[in-house]
Amino acid sequence: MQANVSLTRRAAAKPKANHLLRLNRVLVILTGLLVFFPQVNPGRILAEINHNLSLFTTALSYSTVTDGLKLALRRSEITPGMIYLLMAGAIVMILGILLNVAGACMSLGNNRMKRVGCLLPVGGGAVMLAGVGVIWAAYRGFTGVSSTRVTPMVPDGLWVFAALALLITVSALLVWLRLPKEVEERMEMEEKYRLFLMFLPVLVLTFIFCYLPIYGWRFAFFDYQPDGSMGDFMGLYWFNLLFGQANLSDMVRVLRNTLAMSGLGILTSWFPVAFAILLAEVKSTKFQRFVQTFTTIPNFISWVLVYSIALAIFSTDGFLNSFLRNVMGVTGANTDYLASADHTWLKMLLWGTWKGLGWSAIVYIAGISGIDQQLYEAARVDGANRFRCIWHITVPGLMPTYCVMLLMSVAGILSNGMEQYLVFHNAINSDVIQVLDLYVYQMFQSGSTELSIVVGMAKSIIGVVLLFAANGISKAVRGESII
Amino acid sequence: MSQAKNNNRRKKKLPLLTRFLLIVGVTALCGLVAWAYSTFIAVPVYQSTARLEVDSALLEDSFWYANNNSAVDLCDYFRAELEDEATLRRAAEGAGLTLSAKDMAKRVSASTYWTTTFNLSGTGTSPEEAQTVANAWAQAMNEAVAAKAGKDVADTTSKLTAATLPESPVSPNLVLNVLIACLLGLLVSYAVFSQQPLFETIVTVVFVIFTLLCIFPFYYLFINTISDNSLVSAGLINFYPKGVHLTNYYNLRDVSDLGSSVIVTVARTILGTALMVVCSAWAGYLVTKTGMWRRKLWYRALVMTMYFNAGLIPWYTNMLMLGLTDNFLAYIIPGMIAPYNIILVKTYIESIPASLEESAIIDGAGTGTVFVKIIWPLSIPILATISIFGAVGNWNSFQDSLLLMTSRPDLYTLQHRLYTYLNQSTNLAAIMSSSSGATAQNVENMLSGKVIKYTISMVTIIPILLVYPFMQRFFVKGIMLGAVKG
Repeated sequence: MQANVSLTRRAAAKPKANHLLRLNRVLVILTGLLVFFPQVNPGRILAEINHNLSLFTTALSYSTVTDGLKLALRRSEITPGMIYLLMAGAIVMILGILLNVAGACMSLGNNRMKRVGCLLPVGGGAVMLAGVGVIWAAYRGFTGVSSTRVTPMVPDGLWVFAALALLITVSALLVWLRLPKEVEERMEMEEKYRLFLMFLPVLVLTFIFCYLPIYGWRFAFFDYQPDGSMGDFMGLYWFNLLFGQANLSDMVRVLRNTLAMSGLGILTSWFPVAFAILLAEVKSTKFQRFVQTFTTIPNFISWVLVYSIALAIFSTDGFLNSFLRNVMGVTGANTDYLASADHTWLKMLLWGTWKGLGWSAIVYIAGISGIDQQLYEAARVDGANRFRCIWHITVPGLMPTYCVMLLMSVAGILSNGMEQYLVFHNAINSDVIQVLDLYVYQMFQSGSTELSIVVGMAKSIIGVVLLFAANGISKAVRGESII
Repeated sequence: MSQAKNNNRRKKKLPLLTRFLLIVGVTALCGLVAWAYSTFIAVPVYQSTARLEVDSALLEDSFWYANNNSAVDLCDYFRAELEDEATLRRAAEGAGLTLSAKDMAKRVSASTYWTTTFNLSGTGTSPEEAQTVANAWAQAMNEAVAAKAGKDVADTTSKLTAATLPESPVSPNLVLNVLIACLLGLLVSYAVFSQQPLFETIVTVVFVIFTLLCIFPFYYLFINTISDNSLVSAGLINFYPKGVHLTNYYNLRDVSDLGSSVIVTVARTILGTALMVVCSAWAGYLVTKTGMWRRKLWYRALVMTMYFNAGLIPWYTNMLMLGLTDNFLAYIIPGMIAPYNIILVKTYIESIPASLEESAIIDGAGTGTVFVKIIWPLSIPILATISIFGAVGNWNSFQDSLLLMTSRPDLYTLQHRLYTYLNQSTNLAAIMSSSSGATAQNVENMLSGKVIKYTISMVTIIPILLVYPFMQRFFVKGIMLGAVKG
């Protein structure tokens, strides 16, 4: 007990060690991140290696590394051994970085653990430098090759990583020197940090796949190269282009489609409520279960399959035409109902309803079964008929859930999703079916990647603003937040 | 008061027998009307089909082929001639009918078998007329095809099989008309005369109709995949299968690339779901731990990803940067984090009595042990739910395959593969690897494009339809837990 107190006091007396430790951790996190960024790949020692290759991929994928070197390899101007040397260097480097990360994690523990944790980066930095050395050796190997198909170069990343390795080692060593010498009997870590470290992998994955894409917004201001790397700085050029004369009419049209289809969706958002209420009015529970089971099936098939079904029913030789022709005896019934631009918005709404109605109703069906039966009995004693019961008990009971759903759909007014419109899209209905999400994808397909990113970025930001607005409304009116 | 009212209403009810007779009577009346319509009012239409097997040399000699030396569907190349005005006019003249090209187009319809054969159908009010129309059209078509290649008909080896005299009219289909009329009559008369409360009856009927709308497309696809293929191509399978066989499913093994898609999809469904469930359980358990450093912040960051994303293309450039394009791992790793499922698990674990966990900790169990020995077994119901959600999501995945696997068609998911097939306007039979040896003689045994599309769709749907009835309660539980968000 006594020792503990004195230890804390001594640690507090040395704030510089804390600052240094923080710096060390930041450097480690930075290094860990840079592993995924192709711009600073230390392994790009040949100009022929893909621009868009990160250190991580360099270490893992032989085929990607040698993508631009196939001819040189086939002519035996370079040997696979040289490539393996490069990959080995990358692997060594990543191992060093892993050591550093482990050290940074351990520095969250008690003094004994901290001291070990500060020594790990010393080793980690050395391993990283060894990796730099191996890559340098690979580079020297390539400079010896006399071929026009390989142009060796020293990537900036090599220096960046060497510098980082040195900085991490030095800062860790300094922290180690300033840490108190007395240590506890066992390595221990506070519960809160232990839990955090256990949760860390989840956070890292979340960061990489959900927040790192924001880095892609840089192409709203830069040129996009076909291999995924960054070109010249363009300022607001893409924004001007998007809202310039040529694209403005497109944007207006696409926004009109988006708002119209979302608007129709919001206008019909009470359908599931009505579905649930009416289904509850049917006495037979068997019938209820039957309806519920079969109306939810369409929700679980993909839009591609919905399109397949649409083809089977509405195309030229589909069910509707052959029914009209062969059963009703209408000659010349061979209309392709899918290849038409008439009532596209309504058709898309109907497909959405067909697919989603039964499923969306489930939450309300559950809500109805949660309403106290005594309320109905009391109302009936007071002489209320069926419709008054629905209106005064069921509907108010479902209102809170419905409000949340409605606010969410208002917040998502710009996001209709892409799949439905992509599958139903064709040359004829293109003008009226293109929603923002589809427009973004099609611009990307046609090569205007920057423009599609600008649109997507604006959409994301507006979406978040709308969501918080909806949340604010919900808080003000119902005193409850929806997110 | 209300008691008396009820009694009054009950007294007004007609006797059971009368009601029954009324229902039967109205149903029969509807059937009778339909019968009269089909027999006396609707004009019977006969259909006859001629077959034209196009000489493949025609394509190779054509100007177009000489300039675009690539594989092309023979029938597709000549398809434009079908609707060509000159062809139709010549066909009308040949049949001895004074019809404009537009009216003639209504009389004829065509379908293709494989890449080389046109089935040309003509209709008429008498059997002879149908035969004449079909033959005249086939003749005109034969000439048009030759003319397009710049040749005379006599110089080609196109094989023309003349149409036969149809035995019975294709429409109106008396039996089906009467059946449908009877069904409608039954519904309406039941609604009126069953004397259930009117409101309930209407609601029931509406639900029955909507439920039928939800089931029928699946049923329609299915009966078309197991029926006789020539009947399917003629559009004669509408409500029940005829000539049942399962060879279509067996023949799918010849569809190139389908096998790899099935393997990829099954693999990602199993692996992806398993990893997602483990991750969600672990993350869901940890976020219930109030002792975690900055727990609220991390949890918010996790939940926020449900409502915010950087956009489709930034997501793509990110995957490109991570080297996850054209890579099977792209199907599995990003899917490991599923915020919605984490919330579901968290909510569920919070409902488990905390005393269980506490007593284990007192006995010396660490976080990992508690998770494996206590939390995991106790939360099996919710884990089952999210694994079903995950499996369906993985099975239906399409967008990631579409964006990421651009140069690796062997990694396409099943849905993506189906999408490419559906979008192939050309005769799909061309994708069958054994198509080269096909001749018109065994045309009845072969798959037309339509049937292949239907069969592949069915293969994609069947797993979901099979799993669904058993898993429905899990789905319902999931959405109910989700409504009570954490």
